[in-house]
Amino acid sequence: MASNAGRRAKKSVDSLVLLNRMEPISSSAKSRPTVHDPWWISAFFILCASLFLIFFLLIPLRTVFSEALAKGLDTYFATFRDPAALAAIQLTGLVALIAVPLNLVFGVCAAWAIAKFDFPGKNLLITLIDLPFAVSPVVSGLIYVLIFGAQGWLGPFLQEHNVQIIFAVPGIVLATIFVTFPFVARELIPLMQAQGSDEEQAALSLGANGWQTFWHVTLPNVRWGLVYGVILCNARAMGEFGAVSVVSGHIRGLTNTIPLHVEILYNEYNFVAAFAMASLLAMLALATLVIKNLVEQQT
Amino acid sequence: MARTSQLPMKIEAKEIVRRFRDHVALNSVSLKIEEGELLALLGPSGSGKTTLLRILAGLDYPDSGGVFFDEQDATRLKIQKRRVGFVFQHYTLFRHMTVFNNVAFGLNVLSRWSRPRKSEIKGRVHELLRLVQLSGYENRLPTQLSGGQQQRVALARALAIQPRILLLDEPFGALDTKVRKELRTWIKQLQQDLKITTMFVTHNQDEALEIADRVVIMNNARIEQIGTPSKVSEEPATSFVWEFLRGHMTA
Amino acid sequence: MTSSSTVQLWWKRRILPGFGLTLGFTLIYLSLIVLIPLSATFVKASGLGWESFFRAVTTPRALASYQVSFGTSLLAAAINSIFGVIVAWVLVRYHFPGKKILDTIVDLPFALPTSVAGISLAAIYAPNSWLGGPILAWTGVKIAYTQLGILVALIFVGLPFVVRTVQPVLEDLDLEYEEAAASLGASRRQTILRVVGPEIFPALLTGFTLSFARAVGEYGSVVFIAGNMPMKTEIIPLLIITKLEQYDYRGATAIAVVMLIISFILLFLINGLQRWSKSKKIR
Repeated sequence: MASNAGRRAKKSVDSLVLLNRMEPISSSAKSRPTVHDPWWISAFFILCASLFLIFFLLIPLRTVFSEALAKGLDTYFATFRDPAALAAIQLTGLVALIAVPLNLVFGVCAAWAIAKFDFPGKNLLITLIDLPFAVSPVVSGLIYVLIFGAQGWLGPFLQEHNVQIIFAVPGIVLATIFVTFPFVARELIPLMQAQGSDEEQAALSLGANGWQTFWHVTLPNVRWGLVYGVILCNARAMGEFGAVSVVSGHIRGLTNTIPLHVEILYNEYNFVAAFAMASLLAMLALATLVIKNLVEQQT
Repeated sequence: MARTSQLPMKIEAKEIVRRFRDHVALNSVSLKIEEGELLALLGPSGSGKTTLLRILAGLDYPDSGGVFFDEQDATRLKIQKRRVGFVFQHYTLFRHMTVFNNVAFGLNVLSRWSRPRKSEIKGRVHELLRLVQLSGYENRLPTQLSGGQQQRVALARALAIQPRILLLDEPFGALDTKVRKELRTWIKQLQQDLKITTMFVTHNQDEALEIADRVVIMNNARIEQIGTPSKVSEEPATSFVWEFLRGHMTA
Repeated sequence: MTSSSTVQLWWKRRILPGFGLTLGFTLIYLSLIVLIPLSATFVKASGLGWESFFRAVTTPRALASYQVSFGTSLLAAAINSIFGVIVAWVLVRYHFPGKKILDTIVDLPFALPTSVAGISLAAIYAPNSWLGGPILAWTGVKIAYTQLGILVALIFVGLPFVVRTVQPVLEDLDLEYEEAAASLGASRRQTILRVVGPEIFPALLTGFTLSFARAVGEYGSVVFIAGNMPMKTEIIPLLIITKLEQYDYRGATAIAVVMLIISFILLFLINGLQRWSKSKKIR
């Protein structure tokens, strides 16, 4: 059935590996003399930039570990045997376990609605999603105290039913959700906008329903952005300090997350322990950066 | 045999109107497409041809007017239910799936009771790839294919769902001239072998006149003329048609 | 033949499914997490009445905290802008060993929790530490427990913003524009000022504003190194917390409202700047 014409078509089509591609002009400044800076200028700027970054970033990072290990490995590990410290680690993990998946769902929903459809107020919505970045963490915590605190809107109601939100775990979860909900959305929205809806439309034309389209077509295309958003969300959720500080009540062993526990230890002049706990978060931060790097290499 | 499981279909568009915010894309356009014919929608950019194609596919809905598949009202039928094979201008292969999975997609998303067995799907995909002369390319990714190859995978993918009609949006637009000519001849042959009602959009006069059974010439949201290639080039109905086809003769 | 079914409603034209579901969830989530708590704050503040509100936000202590916060934030954002552009330029245009590490580390303030940064900076610049000590001895300048310490902390938290907004613009900048300028006789300096400068200026401004917005509200990195003396080194967020601890909910809310209003203004400013950036792209 495949006619000679067909066979001829195949041959000529396959002989074209790709559309004609000219050799691209090198995009490196080095091989283009007019836009190349003289060596001593580059050296100067590189030195400037490096010193700046080393001074303001690397030294603080290094300090966390040097201070944590100042009294040796034994003292370092002893920190984590303290029940209060363990409780803090546990609480941090719990909060992240609740906040991150919820924000993940939110991020995906918001990105789908914003990237694939047009509707009035879309820009306002996008701005609203950026809100936690502009609001002070302390204020972020305060707004929940004003609703759920003893003098808040729902205060009397909650007291009647013996429900504790502020100065208890639910309050911490809420404040953490507020501070971290943009991360996944902000990663996905530009990504999905750039990718357009063509593949989704193709899937629909082939008979797929909404879930199948999302799962098989959209998700694989955004998976690295999703991973990165979740990693950032998690890092921030575990490390949030200001907002949680306001809602937690600092009850040792009960409502302290790792960042809060660090503060307590520091204020007690127990520096080694404070930095030891801090080093956990610092390692998480480094892991976040490494994963980010890996993700970027995939795209 | 990768043939449409039903008899080829008749399509009718009745007085389709589609307005966008600042201009009218289709101004009461009516069109009848016969079973098994290869119809070209020809016109300059902005004439409304792609809009019409998308409305027939279900990727857009008209402001007024109707779409009928074999006399049955399909105007509001969702695209998933229309069983149209749509080939996008830029192929729009699923970039994270292999050629095999791309072609099998329409079969894999069928509901459990209508989905064929895995071995059957495999067989069909292989058969389709043989049809489009890409046997052996099952495990390639779209990025590893040339433009023409991607186009043929897109075609195989659309044919996998045994569509009642094949709709092609500027199928050769993104290819260079030599590839274009080869592919258009090949598609004409394929269409005749499969006897599937096919409609394609183009702004290239030679393309339309060379392979279509009938040509629909559109301009400015209206149809200027419908007829066989020889009819429209020898007896243009309006001055636009004459001007537009000037110098382009049928083979 | 009369035309059959008409599709009147514009929203029915959505081809992709899931609009109602996703938008609905998004709006409900935002209402619960953001809108309702925020309105509670404003309502409570308005319950104060104008006079009382005004008095609460203009106490000498509050005014001093505004000065501390805004002053240090502005300066930190400015310093970050200057060095941010240099860092971005270096990362985009030059190649040298260790560049990848520097590029990755720029994001550290995003990933490192604020309290960790806070105690770390405090430890470095404390008067008896390995860095703070010598600096004090050589120059008589105390860093920790002064506004200088606050400045250092704010530079840390705001550092990535300018770099990350300017970097993509520099990356997208086709070298051909600079070659064209050179072919027309422009010196390298002129080219940078007249061709590259205007290109990165919107992004620079956006980064500056982002850096500033972040710095103004920053708490965790600052409280350890600041010393927190009222009227001298007390930042606005700390003032709010202090008031809360004293059960002065009204005062705390009032000042929080001031901060929120500023946040909104900054947010819309940033949004506008980002849109201006996008429209100015040579494309």
